[in-house]
Amino acid sequence: MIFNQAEILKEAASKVPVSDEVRAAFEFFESTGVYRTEDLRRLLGDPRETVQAGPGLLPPWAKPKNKP
Amino acid sequence: MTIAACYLSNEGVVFGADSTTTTAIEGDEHHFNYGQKVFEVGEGQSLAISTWGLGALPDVSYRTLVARFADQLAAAPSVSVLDAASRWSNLFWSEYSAQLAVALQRFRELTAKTNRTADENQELAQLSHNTIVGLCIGGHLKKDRTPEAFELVFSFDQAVPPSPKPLLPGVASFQGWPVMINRLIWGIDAEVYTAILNSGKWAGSEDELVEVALSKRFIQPNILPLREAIDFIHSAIYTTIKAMKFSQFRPYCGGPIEIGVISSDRKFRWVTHKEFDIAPQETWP
Repeated sequence: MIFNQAEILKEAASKVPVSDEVRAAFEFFESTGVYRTEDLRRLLGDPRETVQAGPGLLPPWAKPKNKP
Repeated sequence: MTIAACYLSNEGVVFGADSTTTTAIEGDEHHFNYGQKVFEVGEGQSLAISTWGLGALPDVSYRTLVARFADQLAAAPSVSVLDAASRWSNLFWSEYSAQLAVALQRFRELTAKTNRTADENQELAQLSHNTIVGLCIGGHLKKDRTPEAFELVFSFDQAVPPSPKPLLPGVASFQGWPVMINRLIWGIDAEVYTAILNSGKWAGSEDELVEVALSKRFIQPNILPLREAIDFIHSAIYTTIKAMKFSQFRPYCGGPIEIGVISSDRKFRWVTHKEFDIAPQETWP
C-alpha cells in the first residue's frame, strides 16, 4: 500500500515540471559548478532576512501590504 | 550558507547553528562540515554570539575577534547586553570594513555606476550577497539577570555599524537559509506566494490568498520552557539540514548541530558541541 502510494506520488511529480527559472538555475550550476547569486537568493532566500516564529506572528509577506 | 537560530525566553537564551562552511576551490564549491558558528564570549561568562553568512574575514577569524571582545569586556565590563551588543557591533564593523575595504570600494563604484554591463551587474550581486554577515549576541549581564538578545546584520550597503535589533521573548529567530524555515513554519514562503499570485490562476485577492495559505499553518506555542526551546531550535536546524540533504541543492547546511544556552541562573553552557578530534574521527572504522 505504502509502496503503491509512493509510486503514485513519484509518477505525479514527474508530470509536474519545474519552472523555467528553476531549470535555468540548475543548468547554470551543471555547466559552471556554482549557482548564480540571484538564483540562490530566489530559491534559498536572502540571508539578511530573519524568519521569526512565535505566537501571534505572521510572515513579512503577509503583513505590510495586506494587513494594514 | 548557514542555518542558525536564536531563542530568547524569560529563562535564558538558546543559540544554535549547523557546522558547514562553503568555499570555492578552482571555481567549484567545496563544503567543510566542522566549522564553528556559536561562540562563548570569554570563558565562564554569560554572553554568547552566533553567526551566519560570510564565514570569515580575510585575515582574522571570528573566534579571534570574539576572544578580543571578551578581553575588552574583562577590562571594561558592559553595563547591559545592549551596551555589549553595541560595542561588539563597533568592533566587528571596524574589522569588517577594513579587511574588506577593496571589495567594499568596488561595490560602491559599481553601485554609483549608471550604465553597468551584465557582467558588472553579476559582480555587484555577488559582492552584495557574499559579504553579508549576521551575528546574534545574547545572554545576561545586569544584576537582575534578565536574558536579552540582539541581532546585527552587516552588509556593504551600510555606511556605519548596524544598531542592535532586540529579539522578543518567546520568539525563535532563524537566519541563513530562510526559505526552508518559512515553509516549515508557515507552509509557504514568499517565492511560492508570489508565484501563485502571478500565475494568472488565482482569482481572489492577496488578502484571501494569505488567509488560505496561513489557515493551515502550525500555531506556535507561547514562551517555551528552556529545555523545550532547546529541542525546538535543534529540531528546526535538523529539519533544515535534512531538507537540504535530500533536495537538489549542494549541502550548504550540514555537519554537527551546535547548541549553546545561557540560563538566567548560570553562565554559558554547551548543549551539543563537537570535540576537536571530530574530523580525524572520520577516518576511523
